[in-house]
Amino acid sequence: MQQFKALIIKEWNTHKRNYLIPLWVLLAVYALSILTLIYGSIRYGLPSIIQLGVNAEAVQSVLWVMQFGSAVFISWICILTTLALSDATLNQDYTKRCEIFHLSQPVSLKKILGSKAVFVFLGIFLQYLILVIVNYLMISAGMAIFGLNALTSGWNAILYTIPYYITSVLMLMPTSWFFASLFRKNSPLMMILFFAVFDIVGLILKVSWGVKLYSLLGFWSKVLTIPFQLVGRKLAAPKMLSIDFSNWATFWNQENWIWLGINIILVIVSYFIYKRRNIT
Amino acid sequence: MTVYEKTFENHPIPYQVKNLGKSFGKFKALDNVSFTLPWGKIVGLLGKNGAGKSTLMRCMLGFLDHEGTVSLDGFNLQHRDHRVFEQVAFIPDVSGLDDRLTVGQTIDYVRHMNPLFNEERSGRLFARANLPLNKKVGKLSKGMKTKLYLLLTISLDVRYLLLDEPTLGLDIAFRKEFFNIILGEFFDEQRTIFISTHQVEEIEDMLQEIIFIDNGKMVLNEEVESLKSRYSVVTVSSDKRQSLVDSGAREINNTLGFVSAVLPSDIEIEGAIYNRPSISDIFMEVVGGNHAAV
Repeated sequence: MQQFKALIIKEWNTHKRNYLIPLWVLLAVYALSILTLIYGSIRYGLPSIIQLGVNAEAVQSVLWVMQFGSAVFISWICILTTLALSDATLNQDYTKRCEIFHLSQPVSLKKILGSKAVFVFLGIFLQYLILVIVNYLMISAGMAIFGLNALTSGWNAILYTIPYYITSVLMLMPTSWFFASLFRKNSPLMMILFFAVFDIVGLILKVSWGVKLYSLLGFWSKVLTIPFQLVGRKLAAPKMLSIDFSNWATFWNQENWIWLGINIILVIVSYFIYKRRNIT
Repeated sequence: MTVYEKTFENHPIPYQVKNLGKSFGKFKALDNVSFTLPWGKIVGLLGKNGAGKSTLMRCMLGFLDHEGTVSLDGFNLQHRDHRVFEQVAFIPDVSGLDDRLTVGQTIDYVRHMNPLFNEERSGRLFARANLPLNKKVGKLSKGMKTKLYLLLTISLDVRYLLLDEPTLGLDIAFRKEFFNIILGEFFDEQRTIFISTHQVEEIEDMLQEIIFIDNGKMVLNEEVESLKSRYSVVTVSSDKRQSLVDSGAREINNTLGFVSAVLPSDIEIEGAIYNRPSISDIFMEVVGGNHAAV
């Protein structure tokens, strides 16, 4: 346990700058919003929201969309950070020329990789939870100034994004780990290149011979846009005072179960590829 | 009783390399290398650039996959086998510490990662070293980085210390301090140091055994005393140069009015002066330099 804790602390000490990207992005958005508000207020006076108050349901829908949209935005930043950190945690010791130092400790590879997975997956999930909750409270407090109650609808909006975040990371992170274990340098670029080439070949086959191949980029974009699909399919329609996850089951179709299986295999294969690496 | 003393009692089989081979594509970096690192010895590894010294050490640590076997305490070490670090510590040729950590974080990291970390010795060593704990390792000078790496390494109760050109690029004062610390704080009759260096003259008096390696092949493995007794530096006047060539000298050195070469001790040349050779003299004779004797 002591070794595992030391490994997690090491990951934090060496990757905190990347790890905190979602926080910095959110702070930048806040700063920009506040500056815009100040500038607008000085130039045009304080915004009037009395008109919104005419229809309570419309107000709640706007508040729900505001909360849901910002929570989805935070999810995206956190998901992209997770993917970037997958490469950094696996390969930065090599690019920073300190791999031998870290691998000269009497600690098993399973523990090393486990600590990296925990730091990336659970660590960013924790940050995501903190950020969406703080963001939710900020928006709710901001709305309260104008006499609007965004607490319930906002909380429900957040609850919809949590399974989205977990699903996306489970679907995408193993692939990025696989590429990170294959390529010590520029693995995200190599992954995108591979996807692009795969899809272009698929397109050529489709145009030339009518053979339809699976689209990897299509799958990724499908995963990243789950929130919109949910809204579109009315699975996450603005339910201001109640929440219903029962329709989420429809997301877990055959394709996604196959991907989950592939991802489990990718994680195992990544371990063995990483284990076979020569350390120079 | 420390961990390594217990292991020493239970497993009296040392660090062994058998028929070790390693190729990078078509290039054979190591070819059928076999030797045993005995306990309580300082063993030198000498070879030209690209001879295979670093590759050999990395194979011994399981960092590189290889042919042949490396065994420690009787069990065969596999590629990427972390158990080797329960007995062995390593300092590579380039300071490989993590520049992103501070000195204090680096010490804490090793302390918690390695059960062999000796708190008492570490406290004593670091108190004397006066390293800036809050400074990033990347901001330290090369000498300070090497010192930090050394102190961390000898804070571990390991039985084997592998050093791959550890003082490369350091000034003479740091190099002297480096070896003083190793001899004073680490070495004893149950610990072995395996060191490769280009500055063999500096550690010549420390070495008890020497291994010469050339083009991936081990060409010599012998006790230093026995080796030195087998060779002599033979000096003759310049006009007797041919006598050295006839005796089989591979490298002939010119001095004012004289020429000298390392030859087996049993060769006698009339009027020659005989001196005890250094390890580098013998290396040049056994392995040869870039120029043949003419």
